[in-house]
Formats: sequence, structure tokens, C-alpha cells
Amino acid sequence: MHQHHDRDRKIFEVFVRENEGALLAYIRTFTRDAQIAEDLFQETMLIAWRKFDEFDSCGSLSAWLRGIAKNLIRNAWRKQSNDRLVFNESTAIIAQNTIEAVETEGSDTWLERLSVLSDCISRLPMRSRELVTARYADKRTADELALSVGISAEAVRKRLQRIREQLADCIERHLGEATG
Amino acid sequence: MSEKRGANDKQIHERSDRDAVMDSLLVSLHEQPSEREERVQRLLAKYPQRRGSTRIGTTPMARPQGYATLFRQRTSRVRLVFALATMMLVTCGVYLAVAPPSAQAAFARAATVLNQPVTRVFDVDITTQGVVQEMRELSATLYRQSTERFLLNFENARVNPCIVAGNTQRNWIRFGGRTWLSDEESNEGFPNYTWFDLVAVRQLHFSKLFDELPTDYDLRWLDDAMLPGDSKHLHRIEAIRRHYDATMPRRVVVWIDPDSDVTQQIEVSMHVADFSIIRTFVARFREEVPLDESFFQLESHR
Repeated sequence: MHQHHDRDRKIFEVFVRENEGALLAYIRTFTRDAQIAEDLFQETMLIAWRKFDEFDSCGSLSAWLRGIAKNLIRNAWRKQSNDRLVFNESTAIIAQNTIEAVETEGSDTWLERLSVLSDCISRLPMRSRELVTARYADKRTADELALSVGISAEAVRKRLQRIREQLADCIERHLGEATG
Repeated sequence: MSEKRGANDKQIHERSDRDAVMDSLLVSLHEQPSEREERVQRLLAKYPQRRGSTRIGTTPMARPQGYATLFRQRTSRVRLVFALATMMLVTCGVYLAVAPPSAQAAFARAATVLNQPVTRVFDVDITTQGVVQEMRELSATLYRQSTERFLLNFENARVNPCIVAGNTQRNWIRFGGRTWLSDEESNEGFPNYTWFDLVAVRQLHFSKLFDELPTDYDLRWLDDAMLPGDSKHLHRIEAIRRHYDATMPRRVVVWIDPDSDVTQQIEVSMHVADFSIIRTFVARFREEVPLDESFFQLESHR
């Protein structure tokens, strides 16, 4: 019995590890609050585990998880208008499409799938790459970056937004080429 | 006029949505492995027991916002019994699917053959894909006499010959045209620009890897597969690691000849360094050659 429980728990762990990357990326699209994102992620995973028998094995597991997450996000949004949690259908569609497109790359881990984005980053000019690294790898805020770069925080935000736009275009181009 | 403004508003709105998606993907890409691991552990700590209703704990910050309590307590015993039965079926199904006994037997036979004292030559390709760096590829030849004796000779490294040797005690020795160092020493002197490190060297320890494959990996078995450009029918076993271990490969694919039990190809991929670098190691069997022990000595290659 104990062994059975351990095995069950191990399968749950594999289930979590295999799916956490894509799911969390999807949830983060709707909230910048890391704590809220993690709560929603945990709730989605636990509900999915409990309802695993309802999953149609012919369908996409990650799309099914995103469906559960979407309902949770929508419910949370309905309960109260929280400005940190912005949910709308068009964001959901774009997030779903982008993440699905990245997932078609056929690698076995989420990070490997994100190699499309890595490739796009490597094609950015040096200054843009450094800004991306400083913002996302070193987790420096726009205000901190403004001080070190010598421009206003608003200009840093705009520059980052333009870079993200370039990266989004690059991903679309890349996946467009891949799908022919 | 108002239609045009409406279209512009929609475009701006979609742009900001796209921006949010990209922001999220960039955050995911740059996350540290330790952050991911901690998050997984926090969730595993809430592993839902089969019996009854696991309430989801919410963080003190999220609780007052009222959305976190999303699980309903199961009150119906019938539903509980059905849920338990389904979970058990799923568990058994997954367990049987991931651990086919024939794959384990094939590994055992292949490991036995691999340990026989015959020098086999493999063509090796090592590919490294970083986040911001371009992909680098290395070609090499692996001369593997036994678990304890093998040489990896890089044809396209700048230091020529650049050879790596190792033994079972993991006291790896590297030597090239200019220098040689043991593992306990610093990496100074070794041609770092070859993007070759300890992790890649340890992947050459096939026997250890073969020992762990049946126990620590989920195995997917295909008993009639062919390598590209080859008509030979082979066993193909894909192994995905169950629990994250930074020192072990995440994914391994082994191709075994069912007639001779000789490993025809082994593909290993793993994350190295800060988790943002993915290294793939592919060794393809070329031939068996008679080489004496002196070939595996440093002096023979100075």
C-alpha cells in the first residue's frame, strides 16, 4: 500500500515537472504578481490531477491544463476586479496560440521548446540582448536599468517593449517557416 | 473615422496582449533552476492524497482575495470510490506503460556487451545550444575499450590532438597538445572554447548510465526502428528521467542491434551550467578495431 502511494506520488511529480513550464508561462500572461500566478498554478495542477480521468487522452494535455487555468483565472477575475489580474479573451487566445506554436517544436522539455525564443534573442543586436539579460536574468527593474543606462525609466520600458515586439515577430516568422 | 479609431484601438489592445505573452515567455526562459525546483517542491508538498478532499492552502497574501479556495469537498462516498478506482487504473496503466520489462532486459544485455574488452569506435557529435550564444558543434571519435579505458579525440578542436580519458573512479584526466589536468584541478589550460566540460565527459560513462536507465527513467520501447540512412532493424528505447537531477541526462535514446546486442547509437541530452544551455551528445557505432592498451596512455599521444 505504501509502495503504491509512493509510486502514485512519483507519477504526480512527473506530471508536475512535465507541465509546469508551459502552464506557468500561460498564467503569467494574465498577472504580473508572482504569488498570484503560483497560487493559480498550484490550483490548476491539483484540480487537473484530481480530474485526470476526465482528460481525453487523444487531446493535448497542455491545452487541457490551460483550459482549467483559464476558468480559474476568469472566476477569480469575476469575484473581484483586481488590477493585478487582467483577464480578457483576446489575451487568452494570443497566449494559447503562442504557447501552442512553441510547443509544436517537438522537444521534450519546456525549456528546449523555448529554444525558438533563445534563437530569436541570439539574433538581437548586442545592446538589446544585454537589456534582456539585465531585465529577465538579473531581474533588474526599469528604474535600476534607467540609472545604469543613463536614460529615463519610461524610455527603458519602451525599449523593452520594442524588443519584445521584435521577439514576437521573430517567433511568428520562425514558426511560420517551420510549418511551411 | 470612428471605425478607423476602433480598428486602431483593437490593434493597440492586441499589441499589448502580445507584449504580455512575450514578457511571460521571457520570464519563464530566464528562470533559475533553483526557483523552478522550489516551486515544484512547494506543489509536491500539497500532493493530494487519494482519500478525501485535499484543501488547497493559499498564501496569506492570496487568501483575502477570495479566489484561492476552488476545491469542493467531496461529500459523496460513491464519487470517492469511483475516483479512487480510476486513479488506481491510471496509476497501473502509466506504470505498465513506462516500464516495459523487455526494455530492461535489452539494456541488461547491451550493458554486458558494452563491458566486453573490445575496442569499438564511435563517431561522436556534440551540439551545444545556449540562450544567447550561437549553436556550436563538435565532431569527435570515441575509442572505447572498456568502462575504464576510452579516448575521445576531437578532430575540429583548436588544440590538436585534444583527447579526454577517464576511469571508473571519476578521476577524469584531460589532455591536449599543450596541457593535461586532473578533475580536481582547475580548468585552466583546457581549451574552454571547445565547450566541453565535465558533464559531457561523464556522459561517456555508458555503463553507469545503463545501470540507471531502468530504475530512474521512464522507458518508451520501440522494437522495430531504423536509423536514418541504415536499413538495419533495431530496438529503439527512449528514456526520460523521472526526477530532476542536474548531473544526469534529461533524455536518452539508445538504439540496440537485437542480433548482436551492440549499442548502435546513443543520444544523450541534458541541461548544463545555468540550465539555459542544452547539450546533446550523439555517439554512433562505426567499427570494432584491435587496439592495444598503449593507445589509451597519455604518452602515446604526446
